[in-house]
Parts: sequence; C-alpha cells; structure tokens
Amino acid sequence: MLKAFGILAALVLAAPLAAQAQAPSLNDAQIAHIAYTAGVIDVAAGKQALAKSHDKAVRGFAQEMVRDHTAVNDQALALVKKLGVTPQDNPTSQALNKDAAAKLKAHATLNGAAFDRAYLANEIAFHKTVNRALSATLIPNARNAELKGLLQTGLKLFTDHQAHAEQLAASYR
Amino acid sequence: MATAQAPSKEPAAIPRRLLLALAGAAFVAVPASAAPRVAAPRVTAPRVYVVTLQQMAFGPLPHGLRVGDTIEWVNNDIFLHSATAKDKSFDIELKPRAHVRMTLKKPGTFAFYCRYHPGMTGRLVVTN
Repeated sequence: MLKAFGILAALVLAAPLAAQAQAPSLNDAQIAHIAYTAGVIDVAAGKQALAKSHDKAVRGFAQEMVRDHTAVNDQALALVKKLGVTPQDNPTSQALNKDAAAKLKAHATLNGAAFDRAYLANEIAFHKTVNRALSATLIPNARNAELKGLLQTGLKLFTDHQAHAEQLAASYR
Repeated sequence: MATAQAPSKEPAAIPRRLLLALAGAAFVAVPASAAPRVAAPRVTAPRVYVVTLQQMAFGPLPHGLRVGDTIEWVNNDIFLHSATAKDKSFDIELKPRAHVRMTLKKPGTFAFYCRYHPGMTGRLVVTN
C-alpha cells in the first residue's frame, strides 16, 4: 500500500507542474478509474473487517465504509455510462490494486485487537492519501462538471471517514 | 454545546420509568404523509420546517422553532444518514431520498449529529 500511497503522493506533487504546463496529467476517464478503484479497495477492506472483526464499533465503521463507497461507486458508474466515458486503467490504479491486495493478505494473518488496530490505521492512511490526491490532482484536473461534482462529494465523505477512523483509532490505543 | 433539559429536573416523586417514557415521547417521528401532532394549544398555528441533508451536511436550520412545530428531515444525499440528538431525545434514521417528520414536543436546545458521519452536526432551539 505504501508504494501506491507514494504514487498518489507523486500525483499531488505533480499537480502544480501540470498546471504550469497548461495540460492536465490525467484525463477524465483515468480520473474516474482511479476514484472508482479507490472505492473498490475500501469496500474490499471493509468486507474483510466484517469477516474478521468482532468489535461492534469497528464492524459499524466497516459497514459504513462498504455502504458509502458502494453508493459513490454506483453513482460513478451511472455517470460514466451517461457520459459515454469508459474508465481507463492506468499505472496509478494498477499500483493501488496491487498494493491493496498485499495489504489484504497481510491483514488476513492478524486477529482480534491486532487486526482492528491495523485495519483502522490503514483506513486513516488510505483516506488521508486519497483525500490529498482528490484535492490536489483529481478534482482540479477533472474537466466534466458532473464528474468534478461527484469527486467533491466524495472528498467531503472521505474526509468524514478519515475523521471517524481517527476518532475510533484513538480509543483503541 | 448546550443540551436539552434532562429528565432528572422533574420532581423526584415521579417514578424513573415514567420519566423515561415521558422523555421518549418528547419527539415523535412519523412518515412525511402523516399529519403533525400538536402537544398543546398555542396562539399561532404550528408550522412545518424542512431541513435538507445534502453534500454531507445538514442544510440551513430553522430559527424561531416553537413546541408543536414539525421538522421534516429530507435526505437528498445518496448516503444513509441520521439526525440523532446528543441527549438521545430523538434518533431519526434517514435513508437516501427519505422524508421523515418529527414533531417538537418540548422546549430546549438540542445538539444533534449523524450517527454514521459524526462530522455532520447541528442544533435546534425550541421555545414554548
């Protein structure tokens, strides 16, 4: 996951350069793919937490992640269909998927409180990085107004998720 | 943040179970299609105020609320939300696109939040 975080962080840093060059580094089809991929990753992490955790609060949070990210992704799919855009796979999405798979595998070996802490710590880090990428790169580069609006809603939602995860994690230290 | 009047301020002779029942009856959630219930006679007619939830926030909150008025919560988001009082006076679950009415039965200041998204908060001030 760290490698993927690095790639997203690089996107954030590249944004000012892209702006200077007057050419966005990502097109809408790639942006939609990255945002959708991030949602799918968090739904998978939430489902793993629901399968492994016995903690009521952690399970409630995981249910919230599955429900909210599924809702955003359903909306994203409806939007790209309406716009006639085919989400375009790209190196960022691929790195996210690869590292998320490694994270799921690592978390599968943990149980009880160790799993809960690892899940919440990763949720904080993941949402933080995705939120930075949304703010600095994905939203500014989105050209379609409806896609931009959906990403902005996503940023508000994910910011709340990050705060919720931080609040929960503080009580598990 | 201010909180609503607590049941413990009632006379000590009233049994705790009755007090809890009274506190629970302070807010009544009903489907949007049902008529609002009014607690007591008042000079002006009760009003219905719409509070819209969208973009992960409670929309503008009404001022000048009186006992007997109704809040109609309208969830325009694609997410499940709730309007939950910190003092447990009310807890309204709001599915995406849901409209739910809640009659104000007691005065006070009620801080509330969304159970699912704790960053969403608001406050209702209700007078007699």
